[in-house]
Parts: sequence; structure tokens; C-alpha cells
Amino acid sequence: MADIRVCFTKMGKLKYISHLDLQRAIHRMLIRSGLPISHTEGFNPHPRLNIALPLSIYQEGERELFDFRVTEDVSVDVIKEKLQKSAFPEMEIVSVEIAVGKLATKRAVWRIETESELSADEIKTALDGEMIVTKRTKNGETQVDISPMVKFVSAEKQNDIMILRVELPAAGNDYLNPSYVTAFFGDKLTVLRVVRENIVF
Amino acid sequence: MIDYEKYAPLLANVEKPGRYIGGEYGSEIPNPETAELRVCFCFPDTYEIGMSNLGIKILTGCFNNSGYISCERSYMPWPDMREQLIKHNMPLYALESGDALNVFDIIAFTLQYELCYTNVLSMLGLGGIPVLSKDRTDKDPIVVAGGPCAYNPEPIADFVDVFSIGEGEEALLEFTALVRDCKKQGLSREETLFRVSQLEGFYVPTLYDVEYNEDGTIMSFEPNREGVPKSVKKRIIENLDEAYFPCKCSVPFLETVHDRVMLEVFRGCIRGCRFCQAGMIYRPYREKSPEVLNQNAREAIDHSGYSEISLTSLSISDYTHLRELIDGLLDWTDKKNVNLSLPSMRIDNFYEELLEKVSSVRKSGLTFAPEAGTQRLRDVINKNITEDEIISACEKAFDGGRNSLKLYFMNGLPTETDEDICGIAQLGQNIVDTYYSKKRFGGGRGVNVTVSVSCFVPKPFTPFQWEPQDSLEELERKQQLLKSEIKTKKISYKYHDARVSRIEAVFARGDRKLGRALLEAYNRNMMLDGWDEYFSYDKWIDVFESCGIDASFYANRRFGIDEILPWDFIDIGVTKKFMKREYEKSQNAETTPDCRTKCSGCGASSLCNGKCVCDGGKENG
Repeated sequence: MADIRVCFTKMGKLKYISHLDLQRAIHRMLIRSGLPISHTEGFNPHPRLNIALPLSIYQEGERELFDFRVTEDVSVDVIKEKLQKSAFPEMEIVSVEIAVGKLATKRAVWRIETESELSADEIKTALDGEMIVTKRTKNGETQVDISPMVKFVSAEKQNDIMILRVELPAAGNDYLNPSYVTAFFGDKLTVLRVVRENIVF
Repeated sequence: MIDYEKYAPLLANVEKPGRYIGGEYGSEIPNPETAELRVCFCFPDTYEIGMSNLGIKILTGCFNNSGYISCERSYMPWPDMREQLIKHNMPLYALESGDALNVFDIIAFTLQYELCYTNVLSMLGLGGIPVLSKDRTDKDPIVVAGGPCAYNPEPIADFVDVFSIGEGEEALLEFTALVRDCKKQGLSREETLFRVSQLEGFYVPTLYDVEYNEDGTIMSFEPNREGVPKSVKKRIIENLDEAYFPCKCSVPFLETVHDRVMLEVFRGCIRGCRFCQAGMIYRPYREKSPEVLNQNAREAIDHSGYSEISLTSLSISDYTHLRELIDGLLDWTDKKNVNLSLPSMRIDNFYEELLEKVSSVRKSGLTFAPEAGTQRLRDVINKNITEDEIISACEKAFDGGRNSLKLYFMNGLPTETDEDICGIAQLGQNIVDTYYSKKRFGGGRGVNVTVSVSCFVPKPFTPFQWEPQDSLEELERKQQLLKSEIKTKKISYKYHDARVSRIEAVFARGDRKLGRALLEAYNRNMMLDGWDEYFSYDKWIDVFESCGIDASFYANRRFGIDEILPWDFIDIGVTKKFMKREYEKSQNAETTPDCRTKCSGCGASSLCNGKCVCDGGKENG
């Protein structure tokens, strides 16, 4: 019995797949793999699966994570091979390891590819200042300053594309969707691609 | 592979982009660039419904295994996606290559129900293909259609180049081989279609002329070219064990209507209910062996990773080897956490025993389809089920701890009176009383009986094909009458929109004149008529009026018993003589036993050399 942590990509076409659909697709992939998978108990057993963080539709992920459990000893190499074989098109298994600790995520690094007239410095300055955005909550809309949550990583222009990297909170109870960061810039920035590059513990 | 980036601006603005990207596990296809023939299978309804259709899985599989065909899929886009396609001036495309429909050699549609016809036109138009068959040129694809509604192809004959009548596994491959050869020889569209008309089971509408009497009925229906057969004979697969089964089909990301392995146990039905088209057009009854089924199921589960198998057939309890099949499946499904569901299973001792023994057999909702409220009317429609049988099955189910069930009925059936309508309420009440007749386990829980009533639609190739549908007012009056007859809150009453059923009835028994109405509806952007949010009765009536079409002529008229029916030229094996005999018996509330008990000489056994469930198919008519 061991918990296995899988790092995978959700890139390209897979950005159109919602979190719930992804979850079901991974269930089926685990079953197809023929590995000795641990199932939940109860009326409707399904493979035990814990996906680190949901990813909004239209966003991509380069190093997404999920845990599952095997009931017999199998080497991580064998698991990786079998999972890659049973994975759906465009899903790449990056790595497989024995899980250490729970999947308690803290922050995530995002790459936001945009078209923008703004310079790297202008973007950095803007992110350092106050960032008032409208946040929708259970109690309606509120104005919030998200700047304390946003950590600037880098901004650079490559072939006319402004690539912005930020680190944002990504814990279960404290999560900031990068769409708030891009919303802050309004129409000064056209989003081409949003990629979660890494999840930090 | 599809260049989805091309479609990214569209996909960014639709509710469910997952419908339009393909790329499901198991959906790989042979290379479109090198294939000799490219086919796009079109399903004229949404992705979630289309992906649940077993027929499409079978036929796309047959095509892609052929060695020379590359077969892709396309589904009816939801209006948000349609709007995006139009806005970006992009054609409807196939999900595997992303190529527009109009680059394919063949476009194949399945016609599952009448209200999808506007979707067929819509998909053709969006795909860049002229919607009218007569406007297509040699560079356009050949449009072929099959499925249950192809048994009366006339209403949609103006838009389809050729219809495939019956089961397609073998017939369609003969068709594609012929089209490939014609393409190689550089033959014209006209010549290709003429050659197709020589194949058994194919109907090319342009090769037939219809003339009408003054009253609008058909005067003659004749081929207009030498060598075209006068009638078109349905094709069937004789040996289902040898037929292709899609063990390796694609597994959708989105949750579809039937998101599981579907195991087709047999084709046809031995029952012979007189309103039921499926029970007639799929004759003769043919079973698959339990060994082959078990192997198919195993392979499909291992390939897909699904955790449910559904045994699909018209009335699963009629399968001769049911116990053997289920035992064989349970040998491995339990261990693999795979559930079995038996949707059309009769509630009897065997079933209750099964439920008790194994948790992996899904407790399907308890449903009965008495279809009519009195024994007299059940005899008229040849629904061989008695009230005693229903009550005793309910008793068993209640004793087993269940407290809810569903009953299906129809209103507007031939010879129906108000007494029959009240009988529905009475039957419901009797079931409620059965529940309370003794102290049940579970104490405080009450019983809940759902009575669901649809409207009778006379269908081609049924003994009721000549019968009129009740008028809209009458159907609605009966619905209200039943509502007032139900006195207890233990019964929840649901009924279908009679206006939908009326439009269905118009197209079900329609002729070629309806092509005008379909074209007009298409020009008015009408589509997705199977969806409440898009169906509009008033728009349809307006369309009919503007085309000079009287809806009552098709829906509410008693067709003459010797009249030429629009679908008479199709030979389904079951004879018109049999239909007439059954129709006459129905008028006297006389029943006909099922095929296993006694052969009623329907004629279907002629399709497989006399081999039939009735052992020899003793013709008596």
C-alpha cells in the first residue's frame, strides 16, 4: 500500500476540459492502466484520487499534480509507463514518485502570455502598487486590493508577446485566480494564454 | 490532428468547448491524407447525445477498420457555437481533422427521431454543403442517411442523396466500396448514385417520381429510370456473433447521456405491440451468444476504463440465455468494481434474487409500461400485460423495501375512451393501495408512484400506421381529464407536450411535399426542435401555412387502407398483409401471442432464409 504522486501536463486542447470532466477522465485512466488501484468504499466505489488543485477551463498546467493509492508494491517506473500508456491524448506524465506528506499546496507560479503596449517596467510598477479589483463573493461584489497576494516574478517581451510571471496564493482556503491580475489591467492587456507553471508546497 | 488554435477564438466564447475538440481517448483514426475515401459521420443532435449512440460507434468502427476509409465525426453545434462559426465565417468541421464537412467524400447522417430533421439541414448548411440534393455538384460530398426514421425517408428526401435502409454493418461497406470505385473512375455524381441504387437496401430519391391525386394522396410512385428497382429491401445482419462490435470506442471527457459500455444483447423484439415501430422494423429477432457478449464486455471495459455495463435491447427479459449471461459477467465484474444495469428488465423472482445477491447489479428505477389504463385497451394495442401481473410485481418490489415506481402510458391510442383515461388513474390508485395494504418496512416512508403519459404518434410500419392522431385539443383535454381524476398526492403525474407530438406525427407519416416546409423552417433558422427551449409549435404551424401544407392531412387523417402510403416502396420483411391483419384484430381487441409462443406469420423470417425465433417462420398469411 502506497500513495503515489503523479505530475502531469494539462496543455493544449485539454484546456477546454473542466475540472470535473478531468477528474472522471483520470478515474478511467487509472482503471485502464491495470495497476492495483485502491478504490473508495461505499455504494459507488471509484478510484481514490486527489487532484492537488482545480484548473479553470481555458487555463493550462505544465506541472499539475494528483495522488492515488496502489494496494501492492509496484515500482514508480512501472507505474509511469503504465499511466502514460493509459493516458488520454495530449496528457503527458511528467514524473511519478512515492508521495511524501499530503497534497497541501501553498502557492502557484503562473505564466501569462499577453499582447500589450505596456513595458516590462510599467507592469512591474503597476503590480507593486495598489491593485483594486472587483471580487465576487458569496455576499455580492466587493472592491479588494489584491496586491499583497501578488508576487511579481518577471516580465519580458518575446517576439511581440509580453510574458508575465506571477506567484499567487494557491491553497484550498486562500486562492487567487490569475484572471484577477489580468482584469486589473483591463484592456491594456489582451490575454493569449494562461499557464500554471508550477505548484509550490 | 485538429488545429484547435484555429478554432480558439470561437471556443473561447462557448459554454461547453469540450463538445467541439475531439481528442477523446480511443478516438484516433486512420490518416485522412492517405485514405482512399473520407467519411464524416454526422449526428444531428448535440455531442452528449451523439456520443451515446451505439449505432454510430459501430459504423464509424466498421469504416475505420476497412483499410481504405478515414471516418470522422461531427455533431450539431449548440446555438452559441453556431453563432461563433457564422461570426468568424468558419464552416462546421469534423472533430478529428478539423476539416470542413464539404471536403469529405461522404457525409453520413443517422436519423433517430423526426424532430432532428432541421438539424440535418442546419449541419449541411454550416458545413458548406448545398442543403438541397439537386443543387449539389460533382465536387460536393454524397449525403447518405440511415436509422429508424429512414424507414419513411420521404419528408427529408429533397436533402439526402441516398438512404440506407436497415442495418448498416455490411450494406454501408458495399456502398463505400462502390463510391470509392466510382470516384477512381471519375464517374459523375448522377452515375454514381444510379449505381448505388442497384445495391440492395439503398434508396436514391431522385430516381423515383411521385404523382399525387387531387386530394393530396399518392397516385403513383415509380422509378424514373430503367433498371432502378421498384422496391427497396431492408438489410439485416444474419449472424450477430460475427458482426462488428466496438470494443475499442472513444471515451468522452464530457458526461454523456449513456456514459458506459453498452452491450447489445439481441436485435428485434418478440412482443409485437401494435404502436411500436422498433418492434416491427428490427424484426426478425436475433440473439447474440452469451460467450461472445461476455468477451465483448470484457474487452470494452478493459479498453475504456468504464465502470458500468448496460445490457441494451428492447426487452432484456426475453433473452433466452439471460441467467447464463449475467452469471458469466458477474464472475469478473464484481472484482473489477464494475456495475451492471438492466434497464428493460422485467420485475420477477429472478430479478429480485439478483438484487439481493449482488450489490454490483444496479437497482434500476422500478418501471412498468402498461401503456393503457384498461385491459380492453391493452388488448387493442397488444400489450400483453395484465393488471394482476403489475400488482404482483409491485407487491414484490414493495416487500423488498422499495417505495417508488414509474408507470408509462400513452394517451390518444386508437379506440380510446374517457373510461380508458380514468383507468390510468385507477391503476395508479390500486398500486398505492397495494403499498398500504400491509405494514411496510421503513415505517413512515410513503409510496410514490409516477405516472408519465406521452401522446400516441402513429408511425409507419406499425399496425396503427393508418390511424389518425387525436386532435391537439382532444389530447390536451384528455391530459386535463386525467389530472382531475388523480385524487392522491402519492401519484405524481407528468405528461408530454402534445404540440411536440403533433409535429412529430406530421413528419412521421409525411411525404415529399413536406420538403418545402423543412426548407422554409431552415431558412427561418429553426433548429434543435427536440429541445424545449428551441421548439416552437407556433413557428411550425406558420411554416406549414406559408407552404400551403395542412398539418392535419398527415397527423389527424385516417389513411385509407388501400391508399398508397409514402413508405410502401420499402420492404421491411414484415408484410403489409400482416399489418392489416393486426390492425383488424386491434379493432376487435383481439391479441396476438409473442413470437416464441406462436408464429404470427409476419414475414420477417424471409430476410434470413426462414430462420427465426419461431423456428422456421411458419407463414400463415
